[in-house]
Amino acid sequence: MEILLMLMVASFIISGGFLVAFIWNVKSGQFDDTYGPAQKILFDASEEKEKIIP
Amino acid sequence: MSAITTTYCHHCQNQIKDIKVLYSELEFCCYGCESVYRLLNDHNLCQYYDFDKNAGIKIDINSNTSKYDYLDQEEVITKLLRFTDGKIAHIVFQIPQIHCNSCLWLLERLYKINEHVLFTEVHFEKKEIFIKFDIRQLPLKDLVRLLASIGYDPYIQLTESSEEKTQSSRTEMLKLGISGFCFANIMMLSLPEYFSQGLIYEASIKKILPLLSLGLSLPVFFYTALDFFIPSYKNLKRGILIIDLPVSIAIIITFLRSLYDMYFGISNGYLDSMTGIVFFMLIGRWLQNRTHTTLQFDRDFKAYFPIAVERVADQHHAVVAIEDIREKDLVRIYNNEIIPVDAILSKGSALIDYSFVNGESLPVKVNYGEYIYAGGKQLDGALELIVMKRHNQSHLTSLWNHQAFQDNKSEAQASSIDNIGMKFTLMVMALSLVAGGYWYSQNKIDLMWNSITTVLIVACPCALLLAHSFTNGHFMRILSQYKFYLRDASVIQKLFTINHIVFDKTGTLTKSEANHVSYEGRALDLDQKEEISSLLSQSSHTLSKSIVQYLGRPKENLTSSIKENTGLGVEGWIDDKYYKLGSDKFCELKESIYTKVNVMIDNLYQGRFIFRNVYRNGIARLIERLKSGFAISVISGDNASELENLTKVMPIDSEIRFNQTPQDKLNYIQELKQTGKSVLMIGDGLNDAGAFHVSDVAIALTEKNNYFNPASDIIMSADNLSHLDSLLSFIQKNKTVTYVIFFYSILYNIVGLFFALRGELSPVIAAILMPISSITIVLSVQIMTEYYHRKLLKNKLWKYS
Repeated sequence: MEILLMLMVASFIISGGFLVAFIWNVKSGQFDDTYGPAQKILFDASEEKEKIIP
Repeated sequence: MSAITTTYCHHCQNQIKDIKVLYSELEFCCYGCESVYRLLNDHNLCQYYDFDKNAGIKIDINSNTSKYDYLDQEEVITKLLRFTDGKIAHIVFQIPQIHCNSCLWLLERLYKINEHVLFTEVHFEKKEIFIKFDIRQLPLKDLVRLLASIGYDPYIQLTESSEEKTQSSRTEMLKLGISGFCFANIMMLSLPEYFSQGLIYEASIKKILPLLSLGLSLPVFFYTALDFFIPSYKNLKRGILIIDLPVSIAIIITFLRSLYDMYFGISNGYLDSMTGIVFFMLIGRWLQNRTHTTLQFDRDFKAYFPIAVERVADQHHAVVAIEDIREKDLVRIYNNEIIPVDAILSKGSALIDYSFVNGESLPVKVNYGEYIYAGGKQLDGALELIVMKRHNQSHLTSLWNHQAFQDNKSEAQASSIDNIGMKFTLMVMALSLVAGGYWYSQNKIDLMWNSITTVLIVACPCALLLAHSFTNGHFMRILSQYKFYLRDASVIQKLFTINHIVFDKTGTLTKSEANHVSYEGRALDLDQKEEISSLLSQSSHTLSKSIVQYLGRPKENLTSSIKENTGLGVEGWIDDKYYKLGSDKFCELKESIYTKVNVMIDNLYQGRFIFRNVYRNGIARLIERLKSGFAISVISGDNASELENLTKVMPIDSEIRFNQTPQDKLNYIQELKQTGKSVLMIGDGLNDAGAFHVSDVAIALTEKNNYFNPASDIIMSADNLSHLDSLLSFIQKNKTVTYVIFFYSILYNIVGLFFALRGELSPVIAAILMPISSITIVLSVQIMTEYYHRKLLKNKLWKYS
């Protein structure tokens, strides 16, 4: 039965990782706009977007 | 007559009416649209039209280019820019026109049209665009003009910021994530206990499991559950009981009881129920509060006025902020601009459209030296005005000084859910005390505590709140698909009680831009028609223009002599006939209320052209369906010329009032409310703002590109007005759903309580039952709302968002 403890630790590490990733995502604003970015990747990007100012 | 084929503008998809503009074999409705197409074509951006058929935005060719001159001012620029180092500047604009993938695509390729735009990023949900540009090569004013030239003129205001909103929605998201994580893990840790009935597993695990659960429940109890604790505490201090209070009590008791049970090794506690409840309720709240970030329900008149105006002083022109305009200043107003202050006309030909301000459907001609009120829109070229009152003292803004505006409407009394919730809680509390008292009298103290707490945990009002917030959330989401946006969930409750609907006329029942022309009297022959049209085409008055459109443009100019009498009419000679076209006064007839142009030939009355409002599609049928459930009134700022048409449509006993000032409208609603009516006001303009404020629920209608609306509870697309009854009855279903769930949770509680009161409910069973009941509630709400939504969808031609 001690194996349960091992499994628990493992599952906490994994799910904890997801939680940290989620918090990071929210803080960096990935959930602010749930429509735009999903569409943008479908557009053909034929050229560099950002230009360097001379 | 040749067969009429309807053609649509290649750019804006509007029907092409009188003029057709051709460019490389494509048809456009106006030069504005054509120029956008040409611009996009020149820069290889015609893919724009591929993503969404209705992408193009009709360009207002009349808008003047000097409109953005105030953006040259240094202080305006520094206020607007987010960042600048003198070379590169960052700015964020609100662009309400953003509506589809094409917008997204084009705006992010702005750099292709102008090389000095370095980078753009669209925030679709907020309808904002972030632009990085080279401010040395491309002044702010030109950037805005560039956006305007392709139909995306930004909505510029010097104050607002949406940063706060973003921040709070992020914390909400975080709290959801954290409580979800804790709930799921505690649930998982509880499984061994559930399956083993607390017997089999080993001592080491038995010790560790509760500790782990406890650790996981701490962030929920001390962080995410604060959303319930803080509001209930704050309201309690002010003597108001809200639904959050019993929920908080239940959470706290569950937590304490769990601590007690764990400490004495009785059980692993109810921490999974506690975290589960918090998690589900946060989801419900999130669903319900997902606000429409782009919509602004609180705008007042200030948002309607331009933020700067051109001041003329000693031949010196300067654009000045509206706050700095004083009495006796001379200001210049361009075509299609809104007059920001009460003023006197000193130069130019003023034709003022007051429809938004007082509901008059036709523009008014103002003569030299006469008063012009703030809020009107100039339609006939540039004007110079002498300012009479400062912008915050104008006739229009005085409405906002009315005492009805002093008390805040949104701080209404506790909603019905709070009342039901409180009664429910009091009942539960009484029950638990009775049970406790019973066991106490039997001298079984441990059973007393057991039953008191279990009753409180099992019968927690959470189920009710959960059902309520999920139902509201679903309803608001579905309604917004029909372009019917609610300010918040409390509006749903207020809509239940409505028994009187008041409509505004101009812009609400009728279309704001269109007028229907008809002729009555002695029939005119073809020559006469041609001659009248020829005469009127010389006149710039809107009525003349409409008649010319009605009769058809004259092939050649037949007039030999013509005289236009401002505000009266036109007279002239064609061949040997003397035509006199104009008002009753001009033609020396008895005055009547209609908006019309009389026709006299050789001083003999022939007939008259009558202008009637064009009603929105399906209005008559809408009223027909509404009248069984509601009393209906119409209040209009316009003259009584539409009375005849309205009485045909309206129920016999309904009240129709004309010539109402905004103040009159406000008073009328107050009168209705004093007779115990619960009033729904539907309008579109600033003239309804007062009525909006005092009504129980206010609906503001919006047309396609008119993104200004006065403060209201609901913003609704004018296209769907004819379906108002279906939407209202759909909202009524919210009640049904809540009641069904309420009944269900009472049943569930009775069963649970039956065991709990006898002190028999094993903690494990209680712990399993609670999350199951929450999940059942969430699912059945979903199923029921979806069912009613399907019903709503049937046989309706909806205009979708």
